Amino acid sequence: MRQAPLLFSVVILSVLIGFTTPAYTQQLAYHVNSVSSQDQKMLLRDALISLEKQYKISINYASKTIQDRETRILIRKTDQPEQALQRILEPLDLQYKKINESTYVVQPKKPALKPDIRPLPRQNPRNFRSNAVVPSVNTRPIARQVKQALEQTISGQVLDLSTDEALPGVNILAKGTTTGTVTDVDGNYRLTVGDDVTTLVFSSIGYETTEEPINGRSTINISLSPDIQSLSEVVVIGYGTQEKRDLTGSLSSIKQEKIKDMPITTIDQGLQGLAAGVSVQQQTGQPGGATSIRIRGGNSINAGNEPLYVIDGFPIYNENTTSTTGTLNGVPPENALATINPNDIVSIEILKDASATAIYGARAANGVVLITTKRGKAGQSNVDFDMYYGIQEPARRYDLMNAYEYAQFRNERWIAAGEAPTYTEEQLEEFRRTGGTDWQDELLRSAPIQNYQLGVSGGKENVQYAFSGNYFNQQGTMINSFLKRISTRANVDIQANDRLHFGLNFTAAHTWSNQLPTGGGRNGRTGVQTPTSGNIYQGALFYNPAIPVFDEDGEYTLNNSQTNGEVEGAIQSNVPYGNPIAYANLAENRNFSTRILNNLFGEWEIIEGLKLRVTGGANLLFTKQNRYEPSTIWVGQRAPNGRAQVGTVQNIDWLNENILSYERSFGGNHQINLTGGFTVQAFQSESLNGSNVDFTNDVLGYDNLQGGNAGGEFPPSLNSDADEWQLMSGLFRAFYSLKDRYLFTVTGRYDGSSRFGENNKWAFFPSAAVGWRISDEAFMADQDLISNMKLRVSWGRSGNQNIPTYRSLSSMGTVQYTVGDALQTGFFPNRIGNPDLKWETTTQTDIGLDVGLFQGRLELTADYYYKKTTDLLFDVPVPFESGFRSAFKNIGSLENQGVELALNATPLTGNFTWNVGINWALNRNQVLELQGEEEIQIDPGLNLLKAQNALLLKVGEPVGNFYGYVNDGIWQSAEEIAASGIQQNRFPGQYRFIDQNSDGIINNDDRTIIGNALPDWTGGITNTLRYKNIELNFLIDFSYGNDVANLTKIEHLFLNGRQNGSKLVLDRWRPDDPSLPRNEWTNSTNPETEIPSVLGTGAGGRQLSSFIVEDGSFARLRNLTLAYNVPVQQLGISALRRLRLYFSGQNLLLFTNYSGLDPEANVFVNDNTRLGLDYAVYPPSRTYTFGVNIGL
Amino acid sequence: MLLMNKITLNMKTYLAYTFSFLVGLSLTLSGCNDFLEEEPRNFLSPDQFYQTPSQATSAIIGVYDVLDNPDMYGQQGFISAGDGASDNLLGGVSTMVNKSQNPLTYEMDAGNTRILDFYEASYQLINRANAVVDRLAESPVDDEIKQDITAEAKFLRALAYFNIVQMFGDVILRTEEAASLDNLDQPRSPASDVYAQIIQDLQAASSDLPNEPLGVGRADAWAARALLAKVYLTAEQPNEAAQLTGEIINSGEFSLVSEYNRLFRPENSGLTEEIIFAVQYGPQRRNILTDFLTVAETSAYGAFEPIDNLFTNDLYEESDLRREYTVFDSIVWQGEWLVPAVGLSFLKFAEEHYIDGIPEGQSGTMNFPVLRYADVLLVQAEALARANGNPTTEAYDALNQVRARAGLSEVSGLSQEEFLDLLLRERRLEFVLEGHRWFDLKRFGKLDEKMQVFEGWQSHFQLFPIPEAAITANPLLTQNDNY
Repeated sequence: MRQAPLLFSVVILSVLIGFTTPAYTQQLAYHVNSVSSQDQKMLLRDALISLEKQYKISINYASKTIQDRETRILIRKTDQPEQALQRILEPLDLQYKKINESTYVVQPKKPALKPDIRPLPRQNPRNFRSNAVVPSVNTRPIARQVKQALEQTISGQVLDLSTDEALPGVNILAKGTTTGTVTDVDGNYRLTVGDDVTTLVFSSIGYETTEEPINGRSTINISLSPDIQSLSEVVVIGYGTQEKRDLTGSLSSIKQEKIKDMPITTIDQGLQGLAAGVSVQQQTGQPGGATSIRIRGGNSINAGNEPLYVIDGFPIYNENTTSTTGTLNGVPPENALATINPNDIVSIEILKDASATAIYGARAANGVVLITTKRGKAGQSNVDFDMYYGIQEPARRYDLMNAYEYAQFRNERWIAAGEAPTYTEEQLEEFRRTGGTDWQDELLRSAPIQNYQLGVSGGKENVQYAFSGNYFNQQGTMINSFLKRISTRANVDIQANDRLHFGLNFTAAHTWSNQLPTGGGRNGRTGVQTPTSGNIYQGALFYNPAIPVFDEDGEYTLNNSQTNGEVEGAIQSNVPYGNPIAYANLAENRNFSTRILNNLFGEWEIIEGLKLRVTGGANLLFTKQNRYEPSTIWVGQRAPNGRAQVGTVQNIDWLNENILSYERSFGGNHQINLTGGFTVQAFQSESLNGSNVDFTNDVLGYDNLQGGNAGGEFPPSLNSDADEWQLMSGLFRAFYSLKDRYLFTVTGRYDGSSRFGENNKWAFFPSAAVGWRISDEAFMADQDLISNMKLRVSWGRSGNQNIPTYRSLSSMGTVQYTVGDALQTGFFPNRIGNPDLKWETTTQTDIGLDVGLFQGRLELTADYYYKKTTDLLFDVPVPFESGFRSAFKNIGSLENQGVELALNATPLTGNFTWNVGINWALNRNQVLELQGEEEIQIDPGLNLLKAQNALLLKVGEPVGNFYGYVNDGIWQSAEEIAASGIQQNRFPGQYRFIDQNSDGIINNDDRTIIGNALPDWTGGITNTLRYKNIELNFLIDFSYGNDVANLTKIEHLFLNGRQNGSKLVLDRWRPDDPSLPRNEWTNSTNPETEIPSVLGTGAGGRQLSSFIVEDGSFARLRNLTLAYNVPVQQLGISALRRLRLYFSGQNLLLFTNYSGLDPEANVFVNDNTRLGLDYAVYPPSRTYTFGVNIGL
Repeated sequence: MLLMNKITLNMKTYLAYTFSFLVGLSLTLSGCNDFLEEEPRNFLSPDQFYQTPSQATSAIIGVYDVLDNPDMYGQQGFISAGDGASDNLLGGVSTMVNKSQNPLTYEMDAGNTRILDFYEASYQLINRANAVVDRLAESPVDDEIKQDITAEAKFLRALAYFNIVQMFGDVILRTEEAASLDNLDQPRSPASDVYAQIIQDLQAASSDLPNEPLGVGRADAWAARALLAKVYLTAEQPNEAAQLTGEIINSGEFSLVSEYNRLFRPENSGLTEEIIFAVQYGPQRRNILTDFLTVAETSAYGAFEPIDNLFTNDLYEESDLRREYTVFDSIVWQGEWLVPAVGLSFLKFAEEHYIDGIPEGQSGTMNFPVLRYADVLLVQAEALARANGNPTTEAYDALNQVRARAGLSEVSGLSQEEFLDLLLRERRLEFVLEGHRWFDLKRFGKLDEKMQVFEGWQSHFQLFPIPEAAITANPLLTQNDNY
């Protein structure tokens, strides 16, 4: 870190410059005590001074603005400074502007727009302000002026819709008049208006303006909904916060409201469909199953593609491998984020462009997800109990042959092959009567999901706290699968004195689950298991339906090979799956994870505006995995006599961050915000695995490994492993705002990572961005259509260090060889080192435009970006004669470019409000350079595709290409085959593939790109409809143009008769005269079918073809929530602060042409190149929940 | 003004504090390149290794390890080349040729992954052996240990080169460890250079190795001599071959085991009288070959089956004891039924797997013989016949010893051609499933003639294709003709 001191000199120098500039801020030298009393007139100047004291802020103003004006103070202790200022300034036709965290400027409002001809306020608080309709302290005198008319007096209380807390300082105006009032500290108001007034208008900063018809009532209680699009919204950015209006980078923010009613298991599920350019694929329905997240497309081929998560300031790269010991081989990986309770989240910010992400340097290339959890507020004391209970059911099932259909088909297959039929007519009749076993039905179920959360938050001036405890229990839709979680959180803030602030974020969570082997293997890398290894969903999908679950003695039948009821002499065996129901019920695949995430910080305000924040934290993750496969099930029997495996892994990850920040404004036109610091993070992982087989009984299982090897022939296996990495960084950001409309941000991070070669340990990641608030220009002042317009341009670099550790070093591997009868350990060089190994670099340019129309009722954000990733890491083949297959090198590049649109509109306000958010994103991915090759074929690593390299990476093409044959229906006759010029043995009734190179031979050379797993575009629509206390939310998300390889279909139409198949098999190509030799077959009755004959899958049956690759476009009603806020205040239930009931449904509708279960399914979770491969994946579920939120 | 002064003063104090804090922090972390140093915790670096006698032993065990790999002397490697690619057995997708369908077909192409696996495994072995030779030369261990283990490495390297030079013709000849990514590309060397290197290595091994192995199953000087004899025979130096086999025979160290089938049972690790060098398996590292020899229809893998004509063409003389130890008509369980399986199955190597002829047992612990005394005798017979232009008495004697064990009568008075024909058939029946057949046919120049029975056989199959993937990875590597 030679360069680091230099960096610090720069930071310090910047700070020094800040100090030596004369302080312009008006400093306050005396105290005023009374702040929160009601109805007390005082000089505005005194009021502002007291606010400065109260909130430790600085308020600047020109003295002529203040003059001798008076005000009435209406401040609650719990108010944020903005609310307090708003309440005071609003009636005086003044406004404030927030310069930075603690500096405000008071200034006159802009001249009102056409006040004469438009006296009525429109339904927007900002416009309301600018129209200068002042419901002032002299309400009564105004009312008296109209005493000729009959009067009506209306009173009531105004509450916050989301929290049901009383809202003080709400402006209430009789529509069509200038008569109005404001609510008191308890949210109560009383207003006398003429009886010709029919409507009251309620408005308050930060809330949506609501019109309420009087309808003769004398009491009107109303709840205002928070105006979440408020421009003064503060969002979390890397190492700080910023007002949304000042952002120069591209960022999506998801607030708690959007996800709070969804029964999500892990945080990342909460991002689904809500942010433009953020694609979240739930690739397996297993409780706690991993998701795959791509922000603006995948940047990498061989290194990680997942974003960096920063949970309350602690960076975590979600490597599911860190929570996996390898013991549960064949089980899809559990999401490492499952140990973070999503119910504690307040907001999720997704940093997308380089200006936003570069401050996270070598880990930021895939985007950064900032997660902020709840903190307490002074003065409030809230107890919240939230719960939901729901039922999940498998959303779709495969339509399979029943026992009768299967037996009949099988007989036909056997006869066609010249062998005796398997089943007799009597058996067929029996199967027709009983229907046989529906193995899917036996395995799948409806399952409950439930969640209970108790949160306590509050605090006094010096201490604020938020505690929560959570219990979550999700049963899977496959029998005996579940995930349960208990978690606690404590966030504490302490103001030790005026200048010192300490805080603690502490989470401890424990999850335990039983998982089932489905779809992919560990890390998605080992692929589909062989039939014998116990992928039980695969088993259920292909199992002979004529075999019962239990035999006559009530014991589980063993496997698909057993010829229960088949006639003597039937010589062809079935594909030997073990009984999946026996596996699910008798085998155990337990996963226990405990995470403690602990982050302590101290913040010292050295001088006004200059803060040093020192953070120390640890992220501890401990996992234990247990597997036992008893001797009573087939895999266990073959082990032999039961197999037990135990694995444990501990991950210790610590962090120290030292961040210095300084903010300051000069002369009203200049505002700076400097951040600099350095951080150190280190990670260690240690694991231990053991396994044993051959147990004398199945009682103790994995808790007694030493009980195995009963026959002395199978000694236990033991493995231990360790892994560590370190990261050390210096970082800075400089933000400068000129005249509040020209915004500049420069960031940089200097990262040193242990993962890279000794010649490339350090890297610098810079970014720069400018923003121009066009709407604040003078030339925009005369129009009122556009309330906000900002142009953003950014450029920057970020890196990807997520490659396996130690890859730059040469290493020795260990092996064993038998000498005598014992194994001896041998060592050999197993990797050639590459001292030049380094990070992948993504350079991104972003141009964005934020527009707000109709006073913010329509907000549009559009971004175009171009990203180029260079130095892609490839495991490059080296000459095999070296004794090595490959070595890791930085060779290759790819690009992503795209457009993102996000639109947020509030077409209706008032009693009936409607908010709609639409996001849409298009990303085009292209491989530019591949380790010097034109193309690389990739083995999907799936048994059923054997060694076919059915995926293709090609220069000029996107990642995710399916590479296979183009299907041209079914061969109809010998004549057709002869006419085609195909010289290979082909028979009518077989798949017909197009001979791309017309050489008369169908072979590997006839493959072509037959689809791509990446979507053309994706999008989501959220709607919030609210009528009084009733709220309806729904979220629809889309994906268009993504293809999926329906590999389950290959097996379901693989007509060898040794396994069950799809009901489509009944529609197979049938020879007119089956007694003819098969090369003379013809089919005149069903020539249009795409399903081959019973002997038809020999050639090309297990090939990837265009018949298998399907359009996976979809639209999904991902969430629908109907909620009712019980008006507890009005009902006089004083014990409750709020009571909310809701019903929510997930995945209720799926519109797709995809014939598999779900177009998002993928065997390979988190893989960058093996995309869209659907094979016996744990089916996704549809969920209905009912929830209650109770606030005390 | 007073206020301003106070603030300025405070500012200075704070600044001083901050500055010293930051400087202090910077100094604390100035040793950060050490912090970023990767210290491997779960593996060793080659530079730390090869330093002690036990490490030297571990390093040579690391070379032996490649032998028991299924891609090498396990199921899919050597057997699938030697027997699978020849007229001995059917083989499906898991062999180097595809002959799984009837009528007999023969497909071999550069994309075949079994060929690739064998090619890769061979070079893995070679590189590990090269590392032992190179690194021990620099190592502080005793010269004696150094010499023994280096000689073992040379023996293993020669064995690997001998296989691939026969299969592929000219191959890339590497005798140094690939220790860095630079300069890994290299063109093929003429087969004669490869043979020269093999002979040089085996001569060194013959003289440096002790006559007793350093561990059960490890190579000794006899193994080096037996292999060298085969190399000489293949390299058309029959005089040298005959001389070496003569040495082995005359040493009296070896003899034929009385019962042929004992050679292919688990206890064969104890049969040092006949087995000169064998790949070692045991209860902890089982030989999965038997899994591939089970009755085809019951195997999940696609089994090796004897090609029917091998055993029905009166190939075996009537009294040949080896037939019943080699193949049998198996029966299998079909649910509750025992039914005859289709055609013949191998019993050789698979005896353990059957209980009363029914496949129920476990996969094997038997070693896989690479060099055994019967081979030495037959090499002797062949070398003498070739060296002298006609079978000598000693040649008959050697051949008849092998025939006698099989229960066959002595032969004599044959012409050179008849003798060699009989010898070739004898080798086939003696070594079926031991991976010799393809190499024997090639040495006898009879590959083309004998393989014509297969539809699809082409003359250029006498050299295996260089695996496509290897060519992709090495721009200087060229393909054999007609692939």
